[in-house]
Amino acid sequence: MLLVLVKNEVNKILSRRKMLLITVIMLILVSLFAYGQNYQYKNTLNKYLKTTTESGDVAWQELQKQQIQDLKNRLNRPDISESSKVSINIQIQQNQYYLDNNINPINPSAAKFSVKLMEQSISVLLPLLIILLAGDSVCGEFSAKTIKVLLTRAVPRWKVLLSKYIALLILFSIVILEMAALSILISGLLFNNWGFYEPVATGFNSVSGTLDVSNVIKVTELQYLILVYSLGWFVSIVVGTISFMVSVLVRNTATSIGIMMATLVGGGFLRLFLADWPAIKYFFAINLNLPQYLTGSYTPISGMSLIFSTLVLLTWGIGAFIVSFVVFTKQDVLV
Amino acid sequence: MFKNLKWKLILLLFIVSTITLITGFAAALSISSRPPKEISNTETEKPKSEELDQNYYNILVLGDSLAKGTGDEKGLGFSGYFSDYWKTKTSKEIKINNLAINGDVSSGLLSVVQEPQTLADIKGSSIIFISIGGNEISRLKNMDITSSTTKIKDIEDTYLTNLKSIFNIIRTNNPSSMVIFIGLYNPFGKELTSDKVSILNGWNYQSEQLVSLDSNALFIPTYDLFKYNTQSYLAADDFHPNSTGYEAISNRIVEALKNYK
Repeated sequence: MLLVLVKNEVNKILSRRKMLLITVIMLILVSLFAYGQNYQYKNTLNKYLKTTTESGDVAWQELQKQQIQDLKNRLNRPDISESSKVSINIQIQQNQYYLDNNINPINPSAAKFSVKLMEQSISVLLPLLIILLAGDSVCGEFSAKTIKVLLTRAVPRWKVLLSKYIALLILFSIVILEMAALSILISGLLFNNWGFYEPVATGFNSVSGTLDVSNVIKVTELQYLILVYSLGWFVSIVVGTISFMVSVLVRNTATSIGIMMATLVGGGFLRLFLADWPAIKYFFAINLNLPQYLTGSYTPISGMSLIFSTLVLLTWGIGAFIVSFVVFTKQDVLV
Repeated sequence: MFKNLKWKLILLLFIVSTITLITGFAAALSISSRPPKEISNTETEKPKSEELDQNYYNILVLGDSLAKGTGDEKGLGFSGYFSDYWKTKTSKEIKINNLAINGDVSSGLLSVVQEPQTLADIKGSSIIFISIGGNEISRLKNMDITSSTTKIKDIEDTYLTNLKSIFNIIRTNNPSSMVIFIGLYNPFGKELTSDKVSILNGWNYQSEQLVSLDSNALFIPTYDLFKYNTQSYLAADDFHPNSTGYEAISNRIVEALKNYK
Protein backbone atom coordinates (compact mmCIF):
# COMPACT_ATOMS: atom_id res chain seq x y z
CA MET A 1 0.00 0.00 0.00
CA LEU A 2 2.71 2.41 1.05
CA LEU A 3 4.81 1.37 -1.92
CA VAL A 4 2.00 2.27 -4.27
CA LEU A 5 1.75 5.69 -2.65
CA VAL A 6 5.50 6.17 -2.94
CA LYS A 7 5.44 5.18 -6.58
CA ASN A 8 2.67 7.64 -7.14
CA GLU A 9 4.68 10.43 -5.49
CA VAL A 10 7.82 9.63 -7.45
CA ASN A 11 5.83 9.77 -10.65
CA LYS A 12 4.35 13.06 -9.56
CA ILE A 13 7.81 14.61 -9.10
CA LEU A 14 9.11 13.13 -12.33
CA SER A 15 6.14 14.43 -14.26
CA ARG A 16 7.00 17.96 -13.17
CA ARG A 17 10.25 17.58 -15.10
CA LYS A 18 12.30 18.72 -12.13
CA MET A 19 14.72 15.85 -12.48
CA LEU A 20 15.24 16.93 -16.06
CA LEU A 21 15.95 20.48 -14.91
CA ILE A 22 18.42 19.23 -12.31
CA THR A 23 20.11 17.04 -14.90
CA VAL A 24 20.49 19.96 -17.28
CA ILE A 25 21.90 22.20 -14.52
CA MET A 26 24.38 19.53 -13.54
CA LEU A 27 25.33 18.85 -17.13
CA ILE A 28 26.11 22.49 -17.81
CA LEU A 29 27.99 23.08 -14.55
CA VAL A 30 30.00 19.86 -14.72
CA SER A 31 31.05 20.60 -18.29
CA LEU A 32 32.10 24.12 -17.34
CA PHE A 33 34.02 22.99 -14.26
CA ALA A 34 35.75 20.22 -16.15
CA TYR A 35 36.78 22.61 -18.89
CA GLY A 36 38.01 25.10 -16.29
CA GLN A 37 39.92 22.43 -14.44
CA ASN A 38 41.65 21.33 -17.61
CA TYR A 39 42.50 24.91 -18.48
CA GLN A 40 43.85 25.58 -15.02
CA TYR A 41 45.98 22.46 -15.13
CA LYS A 42 47.54 23.48 -18.42
CA ASN A 43 48.23 26.90 -16.94
CA THR A 44 49.91 25.44 -13.87
CA LEU A 45 52.08 23.31 -16.08
CA ASN A 46 53.04 26.31 -18.16
CA LYS A 47 53.79 28.35 -15.10
CA TYR A 48 56.01 25.84 -13.39
CA LEU A 49 57.57 23.79 -16.12
CA LYS A 50 57.34 26.24 -19.02
CA THR A 51 56.63 23.22 -21.17
CA THR A 52 53.56 21.18 -21.92
CA THR A 53 53.99 17.56 -22.74
CA GLU A 54 51.44 15.88 -24.93
CA SER A 55 51.45 12.64 -23.01
CA GLY A 56 50.25 12.44 -19.44
CA ASP A 57 53.85 11.97 -18.46
CA VAL A 58 54.51 14.99 -16.30
CA ALA A 59 57.21 15.32 -13.72
CA TRP A 60 54.74 16.14 -10.99
CA GLN A 61 57.38 15.91 -8.28
CA GLU A 62 59.00 19.00 -9.74
CA LEU A 63 55.69 20.82 -9.75
CA GLN A 64 54.97 19.75 -6.23
CA LYS A 65 58.37 20.96 -5.03
CA GLN A 66 57.84 24.28 -6.73
CA GLN A 67 54.45 24.66 -5.13
CA ILE A 68 55.83 23.92 -1.69
CA GLN A 69 58.52 26.50 -2.35
CA ASP A 70 55.93 29.04 -3.42
CA LEU A 71 53.89 28.40 -0.30
CA LYS A 72 57.02 28.89 1.81
CA ASN A 73 57.60 32.16 0.05
CA ARG A 74 54.11 33.26 0.82
CA LEU A 75 54.69 32.37 4.46
CA ASN A 76 57.58 34.81 4.59
CA ARG A 77 55.57 37.78 3.44
CA PRO A 78 55.06 40.33 6.20
CA ASP A 79 51.43 41.14 5.35
CA ILE A 80 50.18 37.64 6.01
CA SER A 81 47.74 37.00 8.86
CA GLU A 82 48.25 34.42 11.59
CA SER A 83 45.30 32.28 10.56
CA SER A 84 46.34 32.04 6.94
CA LYS A 85 49.84 31.20 8.13
CA VAL A 86 48.37 28.19 9.91
CA SER A 87 46.47 27.08 6.85
CA ILE A 88 49.49 27.54 4.57
CA ASN A 89 51.58 25.50 6.97
CA ILE A 90 49.06 22.70 6.81
CA GLN A 91 49.09 22.86 3.02
CA ILE A 92 52.87 22.68 2.97
CA GLN A 93 52.91 19.64 5.23
CA GLN A 94 50.23 17.95 3.18
CA ASN A 95 52.08 18.59 -0.08
CA GLN A 96 55.24 17.28 1.55
CA TYR A 97 53.38 14.15 2.62
CA TYR A 98 52.22 13.54 -0.94
CA LEU A 99 55.76 14.06 -2.17
CA ASP A 100 57.32 11.76 0.42
CA ASN A 101 54.80 9.01 -0.22
CA ASN A 102 54.89 9.30 -3.98
CA ILE A 103 51.23 10.22 -4.35
CA ASN A 104 50.44 12.35 -7.35
CA PRO A 105 47.89 15.02 -6.43
CA ILE A 106 48.32 17.21 -9.51
CA ASN A 107 47.57 15.31 -12.72
CA PRO A 108 43.84 15.57 -13.31
CA SER A 109 41.77 12.41 -13.54
CA ALA A 110 38.06 11.70 -13.66
CA ALA A 111 38.06 10.33 -10.11
CA LYS A 112 39.96 13.30 -8.73
CA PHE A 113 37.73 15.77 -10.55
CA SER A 114 34.56 14.11 -9.32
CA VAL A 115 35.82 14.20 -5.75
CA LYS A 116 36.67 17.86 -6.11
CA LEU A 117 33.30 18.62 -7.62
CA MET A 118 31.52 17.13 -4.63
CA GLU A 119 33.86 18.83 -2.18
CA GLN A 120 33.13 22.18 -3.79
CA SER A 121 29.40 21.77 -4.27
CA ILE A 122 28.48 20.08 -1.01
CA SER A 123 27.83 23.25 0.92
CA VAL A 124 25.84 25.26 -1.63
CA LEU A 125 25.20 23.77 -5.04
CA LEU A 126 24.11 20.31 -3.99
CA PRO A 127 21.77 21.64 -1.25
CA LEU A 128 20.25 24.02 -3.81
CA LEU A 129 19.44 21.15 -6.15
CA ILE A 130 17.96 19.25 -3.21
CA ILE A 131 15.83 22.24 -2.22
CA LEU A 132 14.61 22.46 -5.78
CA LEU A 133 13.38 18.89 -5.41
CA ALA A 134 12.01 19.01 -1.90
CA GLY A 135 10.90 22.62 -1.55
CA ASP A 136 7.41 22.21 -2.99
CA SER A 137 6.79 18.67 -1.81
CA VAL A 138 3.88 19.49 0.48
CA CYS A 139 3.14 23.15 -0.08
CA GLY A 140 2.94 22.49 -3.81
CA GLU A 141 -0.24 20.55 -3.06
CA PHE A 142 -1.63 23.63 -1.37
CA SER A 143 -0.65 25.92 -4.22
CA ALA A 144 -2.17 23.56 -6.75
CA LYS A 145 -5.19 22.98 -4.49
CA THR A 146 -4.74 19.24 -4.81
CA ILE A 147 -4.28 18.73 -1.09
CA LYS A 148 -8.04 18.09 -0.66
CA VAL A 149 -7.97 15.24 -3.10
CA LEU A 150 -4.97 13.79 -1.36
CA LEU A 151 -6.40 13.94 2.14
CA THR A 152 -9.91 12.77 1.38
CA ARG A 153 -8.65 9.38 0.34
CA ALA A 154 -8.93 6.60 2.88
CA VAL A 155 -5.30 6.81 3.88
CA PRO A 156 -4.06 8.14 7.21
CA ARG A 157 -2.32 11.49 6.96
CA TRP A 158 1.02 10.21 8.25
CA LYS A 159 1.08 7.66 5.47
CA VAL A 160 0.53 10.37 2.89
CA LEU A 161 3.41 12.37 4.32
CA LEU A 162 5.68 9.35 4.72
CA SER A 163 5.14 8.35 1.10
CA LYS A 164 6.15 11.85 0.04
CA TYR A 165 9.24 11.68 2.23
CA ILE A 166 10.33 8.27 0.97
CA ALA A 167 9.80 9.42 -2.62
CA LEU A 168 12.17 12.31 -1.92
CA LEU A 169 14.77 10.00 -0.35
CA ILE A 170 14.71 7.86 -3.47
CA LEU A 171 15.24 10.88 -5.68
CA PHE A 172 18.06 12.24 -3.47
CA SER A 173 19.97 9.01 -3.92
CA ILE A 174 19.41 9.19 -7.62
CA VAL A 175 20.62 12.80 -7.75
CA ILE A 176 23.87 11.80 -6.03
CA LEU A 177 24.26 8.86 -8.36
CA GLU A 178 23.58 11.05 -11.36
CA MET A 179 26.08 13.65 -10.21
CA ALA A 180 28.77 11.00 -9.83
CA ALA A 181 27.97 9.44 -13.18
CA LEU A 182 27.88 12.74 -15.06
CA SER A 183 31.08 14.12 -13.60
CA ILE A 184 33.00 10.86 -14.06
CA LEU A 185 31.84 10.53 -17.65
CA ILE A 186 32.40 14.12 -18.73
CA SER A 187 35.73 14.62 -16.99
CA GLY A 188 36.93 11.16 -17.96
CA LEU A 189 36.31 11.87 -21.60
CA LEU A 190 37.92 15.31 -21.32
CA PHE A 191 41.04 14.36 -19.36
CA ASN A 192 41.33 10.93 -20.94
CA ASN A 193 42.45 9.62 -17.57
CA TRP A 194 40.14 7.77 -15.20
CA GLY A 195 42.51 7.26 -12.31
CA PHE A 196 40.24 5.08 -10.17
CA TYR A 197 43.09 3.05 -8.78
CA GLU A 198 45.53 5.83 -8.01
CA PRO A 199 46.30 6.09 -4.32
CA VAL A 200 45.03 9.00 -2.31
CA ALA A 201 45.75 9.88 1.29
CA THR A 202 42.93 10.58 3.69
CA GLY A 203 42.49 10.90 7.43
CA PHE A 204 44.53 14.07 7.85
CA ASN A 205 43.81 15.77 11.09
CA SER A 206 44.67 19.37 11.70
CA VAL A 207 45.31 19.82 15.40
CA SER A 208 46.13 23.31 16.63
CA GLY A 209 47.89 24.46 13.51
CA THR A 210 49.91 21.39 12.68
CA LEU A 211 48.95 18.49 10.56
CA ASP A 212 48.55 15.17 12.33
CA VAL A 213 49.46 12.52 9.79
CA SER A 214 49.54 9.62 12.24
CA ASN A 215 46.09 8.51 11.12
CA VAL A 216 46.54 8.92 7.42
CA ILE A 217 45.67 5.90 5.37
CA LYS A 218 46.04 5.32 1.70
CA VAL A 219 42.95 4.34 -0.24
CA THR A 220 42.26 4.20 -3.95
CA GLU A 221 40.58 7.13 -5.65
CA LEU A 222 37.50 4.98 -6.22
CA GLN A 223 37.12 4.26 -2.51
CA TYR A 224 37.68 7.91 -1.72
CA LEU A 225 35.09 8.90 -4.30
CA ILE A 226 32.52 6.71 -2.57
CA LEU A 227 33.47 8.19 0.81
CA VAL A 228 33.01 11.76 -0.37
CA TYR A 229 29.79 11.07 -2.26
CA SER A 230 28.31 9.30 0.72
CA LEU A 231 28.99 12.41 2.76
CA GLY A 232 27.18 14.37 0.05
CA TRP A 233 24.31 11.92 0.26
CA PHE A 234 24.03 12.38 4.01
CA VAL A 235 24.07 16.16 3.61
CA SER A 236 21.34 15.92 0.93
CA ILE A 237 19.10 13.91 3.21
CA VAL A 238 19.50 16.37 6.09
CA VAL A 239 18.99 19.46 3.92
CA GLY A 240 16.12 17.68 2.16
CA THR A 241 14.44 16.83 5.46
CA ILE A 242 14.70 20.41 6.68
CA SER A 243 13.39 21.66 3.36
CA PHE A 244 10.58 19.11 3.64
CA MET A 245 9.68 20.51 7.05
CA VAL A 246 9.61 24.06 5.70
CA SER A 247 7.34 22.94 2.87
CA VAL A 248 4.96 21.52 5.48
CA LEU A 249 5.06 24.71 7.54
CA VAL A 250 4.40 27.24 4.78
CA ARG A 251 1.68 27.19 2.14
CA ASN A 252 3.55 28.61 -0.76
CA THR A 253 6.28 27.07 -2.92
CA ALA A 254 8.15 30.32 -3.51
CA THR A 255 8.26 31.09 0.22
CA SER A 256 9.44 27.60 1.02
CA ILE A 257 12.31 27.65 -1.48
CA GLY A 258 13.15 31.24 -0.53
CA ILE A 259 13.43 30.43 3.18
CA MET A 260 15.73 27.49 2.52
CA MET A 261 17.97 29.41 0.17
CA ALA A 262 18.27 32.28 2.61
CA THR A 263 19.29 29.95 5.45
CA LEU A 264 21.79 28.22 3.24
CA VAL A 265 23.45 31.33 1.87
CA GLY A 266 23.14 33.08 5.23
CA GLY A 267 25.03 30.18 6.79
CA GLY A 268 28.01 31.02 4.62
CA PHE A 269 27.93 34.62 5.79
CA LEU A 270 27.63 33.58 9.43
CA ARG A 271 30.79 31.60 9.01
CA LEU A 272 32.55 34.71 7.77
CA PHE A 273 31.25 37.22 10.27
CA LEU A 274 30.68 35.23 13.42
CA ALA A 275 33.55 32.77 13.37
CA ASP A 276 34.44 33.74 16.94
CA TRP A 277 31.01 33.04 18.34
CA PRO A 278 31.03 29.39 19.46
CA ALA A 279 27.27 28.85 19.21
CA ILE A 280 27.20 29.05 15.42
CA LYS A 281 28.74 25.64 15.11
CA TYR A 282 25.34 24.20 16.07
CA PHE A 283 23.71 25.77 13.02
CA PHE A 284 23.16 23.20 10.28
CA ALA A 285 24.38 25.28 7.35
CA ILE A 286 27.79 25.67 9.01
CA ASN A 287 28.26 21.91 9.19
CA LEU A 288 27.55 21.00 5.60
CA ASN A 289 31.14 20.87 4.43
CA LEU A 290 31.89 17.36 5.66
CA PRO A 291 34.66 16.37 3.19
CA GLN A 292 36.96 19.02 4.69
CA TYR A 293 37.44 16.72 7.67
CA LEU A 294 38.78 13.97 5.45
CA THR A 295 41.34 16.20 3.76
CA GLY A 296 42.39 17.91 6.96
CA SER A 297 41.85 21.45 5.74
CA TYR A 298 41.97 24.10 8.37
CA THR A 299 38.65 24.78 10.09
CA PRO A 300 38.33 28.31 11.44
CA ILE A 301 35.90 27.30 14.19
CA SER A 302 37.43 25.14 16.86
CA GLY A 303 35.77 22.06 18.26
CA MET A 304 34.37 20.83 14.97
CA SER A 305 35.01 17.33 13.69
CA LEU A 306 33.28 14.90 11.36
CA ILE A 307 31.55 13.22 14.29
CA PHE A 308 30.46 16.56 15.70
CA SER A 309 29.09 17.82 12.39
CA THR A 310 27.36 14.52 11.70
CA LEU A 311 25.67 14.62 15.08
CA VAL A 312 24.57 18.23 14.60
CA LEU A 313 23.17 17.46 11.16
CA LEU A 314 21.50 14.31 12.42
CA THR A 315 19.83 16.22 15.24
CA TRP A 316 18.54 18.83 12.80
CA GLY A 317 17.32 16.10 10.46
CA ILE A 318 15.47 14.16 13.16
CA GLY A 319 14.05 17.36 14.60
CA ALA A 320 12.77 18.47 11.21
CA PHE A 321 11.30 15.02 10.56
CA ILE A 322 9.37 15.03 13.85
CA VAL A 323 8.14 18.60 13.38
CA SER A 324 6.91 17.81 9.86
CA PHE A 325 4.88 14.82 10.98
CA VAL A 326 3.44 16.44 14.11
CA VAL A 327 2.41 19.58 12.25
CA PHE A 328 1.03 17.78 9.22
CA THR A 329 -1.11 15.34 11.17
CA LYS A 330 -2.45 17.98 13.56
CA GLN A 331 -2.99 21.01 11.34
CA ASP A 332 -6.34 22.06 9.96
CA VAL A 333 -6.53 22.05 6.23
CA LEU A 334 -8.81 24.73 4.92
CA VAL A 335 -8.88 25.04 1.21
CA MET B 1 4.63 -1.68 -18.99
CA PHE B 2 7.27 0.93 -19.73
CA LYS B 3 6.28 2.93 -16.65
CA ASN B 4 6.56 -0.15 -14.51
CA LEU B 5 10.04 -0.84 -15.84
CA LYS B 6 11.12 2.70 -15.08
CA TRP B 7 9.79 2.40 -11.56
CA LYS B 8 11.66 -0.86 -11.03
CA LEU B 9 14.85 0.68 -12.38
CA ILE B 10 14.48 3.64 -10.06
CA LEU B 11 13.92 1.34 -7.07
CA LEU B 12 16.92 -0.78 -8.01
CA LEU B 13 19.17 2.27 -8.39
CA PHE B 14 17.89 3.58 -5.09
CA ILE B 15 18.60 0.38 -3.21
CA VAL B 16 22.06 -0.12 -4.72
CA SER B 17 23.14 3.47 -4.21
CA THR B 18 21.75 3.62 -0.68
CA ILE B 19 23.65 0.52 0.38
CA THR B 20 26.88 1.81 -1.19
CA LEU B 21 26.49 5.25 0.31
CA ILE B 22 25.64 4.00 3.80
CA THR B 23 28.76 1.82 3.72
CA GLY B 24 30.79 4.76 2.52
CA PHE B 25 29.44 7.00 5.19
CA ALA B 26 30.22 4.49 7.90
CA ALA B 27 33.75 4.14 6.52
CA ALA B 28 34.22 7.93 6.48
CA LEU B 29 33.10 8.15 10.09
CA SER B 30 35.43 5.39 11.18
CA ILE B 31 38.41 6.90 9.35
CA SER B 32 38.10 10.29 10.92
CA SER B 33 37.25 9.11 14.41
CA ARG B 34 40.23 6.86 15.02
CA PRO B 35 42.24 8.09 17.99
CA PRO B 36 45.58 9.65 17.08
CA LYS B 37 48.45 7.21 17.29
CA GLU B 38 51.66 7.83 19.14
CA ILE B 39 53.36 10.74 17.48
CA SER B 40 56.83 9.29 18.05
CA ASN B 41 56.10 6.68 15.37
CA THR B 42 55.96 9.22 12.62
CA GLU B 43 58.77 11.39 13.83
CA THR B 44 61.34 8.65 13.67
CA GLU B 45 60.57 8.21 9.99
CA LYS B 46 62.89 10.50 8.14
CA PRO B 47 61.41 12.16 5.09
CA LYS B 48 62.87 10.59 2.01
CA SER B 49 65.07 12.77 -0.12
CA GLU B 50 65.44 12.28 -3.77
CA GLU B 51 68.73 12.27 -5.61
CA LEU B 52 69.17 14.48 -8.62
CA ASP B 53 69.22 13.00 -12.07
CA GLN B 54 72.84 12.99 -13.23
CA ASN B 55 71.78 12.95 -16.86
CA TYR B 56 71.25 16.66 -16.40
CA TYR B 57 73.71 19.40 -15.66
CA ASN B 58 72.27 20.49 -12.33
CA ILE B 59 72.45 24.06 -11.08
CA LEU B 60 71.29 24.83 -7.56
CA VAL B 61 70.18 28.30 -6.51
CA LEU B 62 70.01 29.16 -2.82
CA GLY B 63 69.21 32.29 -0.88
CA ASP B 64 66.83 35.23 -1.01
CA SER B 65 64.63 37.03 -3.52
CA LEU B 66 67.61 38.03 -5.64
CA ALA B 67 68.42 34.36 -6.13
CA LYS B 68 64.76 33.65 -6.77
CA GLY B 69 64.67 36.24 -9.55
CA THR B 70 62.10 38.55 -7.98
CA GLY B 71 61.58 41.70 -10.05
CA ASP B 72 62.47 40.11 -13.36
CA GLU B 73 59.59 40.70 -15.78
CA LYS B 74 60.70 37.62 -17.70
CA GLY B 75 60.83 35.52 -14.55
CA LEU B 76 64.27 34.09 -15.31
CA GLY B 77 66.54 35.63 -12.69
CA PHE B 78 70.32 35.66 -13.10
CA SER B 79 70.41 31.86 -13.00
CA GLY B 80 68.05 31.76 -15.97
CA TYR B 81 70.20 34.07 -18.11
CA PHE B 82 73.30 32.27 -16.94
CA SER B 83 72.00 28.86 -18.00
CA ASP B 84 71.11 30.28 -21.40
CA TYR B 85 74.79 30.97 -21.90
CA TRP B 86 76.08 27.88 -20.14
CA LYS B 87 74.19 25.64 -22.59
CA THR B 88 77.12 26.01 -24.95
CA LYS B 89 79.57 24.77 -22.34
CA THR B 90 77.99 21.43 -21.54
CA SER B 91 76.61 18.58 -23.58
CA LYS B 92 73.98 17.77 -20.98
CA GLU B 93 70.68 19.56 -20.64
CA ILE B 94 70.75 22.14 -17.86
CA LYS B 95 68.34 21.86 -14.98
CA ILE B 96 67.94 24.64 -12.43
CA ASN B 97 66.73 23.86 -8.94
CA ASN B 98 65.74 27.12 -7.35
CA LEU B 99 65.30 26.75 -3.60
CA ALA B 100 65.51 30.45 -2.87
CA ILE B 101 62.95 32.00 -0.54
CA ASN B 102 61.85 35.62 -0.84
CA GLY B 103 62.89 37.64 2.19
CA ASP B 104 65.19 34.97 3.56
CA VAL B 105 68.13 35.81 5.83
CA SER B 106 71.29 33.82 6.56
CA SER B 107 69.76 31.92 9.48
CA GLY B 108 66.86 30.89 7.23
CA LEU B 109 69.25 29.72 4.54
CA LEU B 110 71.17 27.73 7.14
CA SER B 111 68.03 25.80 8.02
CA VAL B 112 67.24 25.32 4.33
CA VAL B 113 70.62 23.73 3.62
CA GLN B 114 70.15 21.38 6.56
CA GLU B 115 67.03 19.82 5.06
CA PRO B 116 67.66 16.35 3.63
CA GLN B 117 66.27 17.28 0.22
CA THR B 118 68.58 20.29 -0.05
CA LEU B 119 71.54 18.13 0.94
CA ALA B 120 70.68 15.72 -1.86
CA ASP B 121 70.42 18.65 -4.25
CA ILE B 122 73.80 19.98 -3.10
CA LYS B 123 75.37 16.57 -3.69
CA GLY B 124 74.14 16.37 -7.26
CA SER B 125 74.75 19.93 -8.45
CA SER B 126 77.72 21.15 -10.47
CA ILE B 127 77.18 24.82 -9.82
CA ILE B 128 75.67 26.32 -6.68
CA PHE B 129 74.57 29.96 -6.59
CA ILE B 130 74.13 31.75 -3.28
CA SER B 131 72.68 35.17 -2.69
CA ILE B 132 72.08 36.09 0.93
CA GLY B 133 72.53 38.98 3.33
CA GLY B 134 70.57 41.61 1.44
CA ASN B 135 67.60 41.38 3.76
CA GLU B 136 69.81 41.69 6.81
CA ILE B 137 71.55 44.78 5.59
CA SER B 138 68.52 46.47 4.03
CA ARG B 139 67.44 47.40 7.54
CA LEU B 140 70.54 49.55 7.58
CA LYS B 141 68.85 52.31 5.65
CA ASN B 142 66.63 53.39 8.50
CA MET B 143 69.04 52.69 11.31
CA ASP B 144 70.65 55.31 13.47
CA ILE B 145 74.29 54.26 13.19
CA THR B 146 75.84 56.26 15.98
CA SER B 147 73.70 54.51 18.60
CA SER B 148 73.64 51.08 17.06
CA THR B 149 77.14 50.34 15.81
CA THR B 150 77.34 47.38 18.17
CA LYS B 151 74.02 46.09 16.92
CA ILE B 152 75.21 46.12 13.33
CA LYS B 153 78.39 44.38 14.41
CA ASP B 154 76.25 41.68 16.06
CA ILE B 155 74.15 41.21 12.94
CA GLU B 156 77.28 40.97 10.82
CA ASP B 157 78.88 38.44 13.16
CA THR B 158 75.89 36.11 13.16
CA TYR B 159 75.68 36.50 9.40
CA LEU B 160 79.33 35.51 8.95
CA THR B 161 79.02 32.51 11.29
CA ASN B 162 75.91 31.38 9.42
CA LEU B 163 77.63 31.79 6.08
CA LYS B 164 80.63 29.83 7.34
CA SER B 165 78.35 26.97 8.44
CA ILE B 166 76.54 27.07 5.09
CA PHE B 167 79.85 26.72 3.25
CA ASN B 168 80.87 23.91 5.58
CA ILE B 169 77.68 22.00 4.92
CA ILE B 170 78.03 22.48 1.17
CA ARG B 171 81.64 21.35 1.17
CA THR B 172 81.10 18.26 3.32
CA ASN B 173 78.40 17.18 0.88
CA ASN B 174 80.00 18.27 -2.34
CA PRO B 175 83.71 19.12 -2.35
CA SER B 176 83.99 19.72 -6.09
CA SER B 177 81.08 21.93 -7.15
CA MET B 178 81.58 25.56 -8.14
CA VAL B 179 80.03 27.83 -5.54
CA ILE B 180 79.21 31.33 -6.72
CA PHE B 181 78.34 33.96 -4.17
CA ILE B 182 76.58 37.12 -5.35
CA GLY B 183 77.71 40.25 -3.54
CA LEU B 184 75.42 43.01 -2.38
CA TYR B 185 74.64 46.19 -4.22
CA ASN B 186 73.18 49.43 -2.92
CA PRO B 187 69.61 49.77 -4.16
CA PHE B 188 69.03 53.05 -2.31
CA GLY B 189 71.45 55.22 -4.29
CA LYS B 190 72.23 58.53 -2.65
CA GLU B 191 69.61 57.92 0.04
CA LEU B 192 72.19 55.79 1.78
CA THR B 193 74.61 58.06 3.60
CA SER B 194 78.32 57.54 3.06
CA ASP B 195 78.93 56.04 6.52
CA LYS B 196 76.28 53.43 5.76
CA VAL B 197 77.76 52.78 2.35
CA SER B 198 81.03 52.01 4.04
CA ILE B 199 79.27 49.50 6.29
CA LEU B 200 77.81 47.86 3.17
CA ASN B 201 81.24 47.70 1.57
CA GLY B 202 82.71 46.31 4.77
CA TRP B 203 80.02 43.66 4.76
CA ASN B 204 80.82 42.76 1.15
CA TYR B 205 84.54 42.65 1.99
CA GLN B 206 83.95 40.23 4.87
CA SER B 207 81.85 37.99 2.65
CA GLU B 208 84.48 38.06 -0.06
CA GLN B 209 87.20 37.13 2.43
CA LEU B 210 85.14 34.19 3.57
CA VAL B 211 84.40 33.05 0.03
CA SER B 212 88.07 33.36 -0.97
CA LEU B 213 89.01 30.82 1.72
CA ASP B 214 87.30 28.21 -0.43
CA SER B 215 89.38 27.09 -3.37
CA ASN B 216 86.50 26.49 -5.72
CA ALA B 217 84.27 29.42 -4.95
CA LEU B 218 83.75 32.77 -6.57
CA PHE B 219 82.59 36.12 -5.21
CA ILE B 220 80.78 38.19 -7.83
CA PRO B 221 80.68 41.86 -6.80
CA THR B 222 77.61 43.82 -7.83
CA TYR B 223 78.13 47.09 -5.96
CA ASP B 224 80.04 48.73 -8.81
CA LEU B 225 77.67 47.29 -11.38
CA PHE B 226 74.66 49.00 -9.87
CA LYS B 227 76.23 52.19 -8.58
CA TYR B 228 75.48 54.35 -11.63
CA ASN B 229 72.90 52.06 -13.17
CA THR B 230 70.14 51.94 -10.57
CA GLN B 231 67.82 53.83 -12.94
CA SER B 232 67.96 51.18 -15.62
CA TYR B 233 68.81 48.08 -13.58
CA LEU B 234 66.21 48.20 -10.82
CA ALA B 235 62.61 46.98 -11.06
CA ALA B 236 59.58 49.09 -10.21
CA ASP B 237 59.97 48.36 -6.50
CA ASP B 238 63.33 50.20 -6.52
CA PHE B 239 64.89 47.31 -4.66
CA HIS B 240 65.12 44.20 -6.83
CA PRO B 241 66.89 44.14 -10.19
CA ASN B 242 64.81 44.05 -13.36
CA SER B 243 65.57 41.79 -16.28
CA THR B 244 68.39 44.04 -17.52
CA GLY B 245 69.87 44.06 -14.03
CA TYR B 246 69.73 40.29 -13.73
CA GLU B 247 71.21 39.95 -17.17
CA ALA B 248 74.07 42.24 -16.15
CA ILE B 249 74.79 40.09 -13.09
CA SER B 250 74.64 36.98 -15.24
CA ASN B 251 77.04 38.51 -17.80
CA ARG B 252 79.50 39.16 -15.04
CA ILE B 253 79.31 35.54 -13.86
CA VAL B 254 79.68 34.34 -17.45
CA GLU B 255 82.75 36.56 -17.89
CA ALA B 256 84.32 35.16 -14.73
CA LEU B 257 83.70 31.57 -15.77
CA LYS B 258 84.73 31.99 -19.40
CA ASN B 259 87.60 29.58 -19.15
CA TYR B 260 86.25 27.38 -16.36
CA LYS B 261 86.19 23.70 -17.33
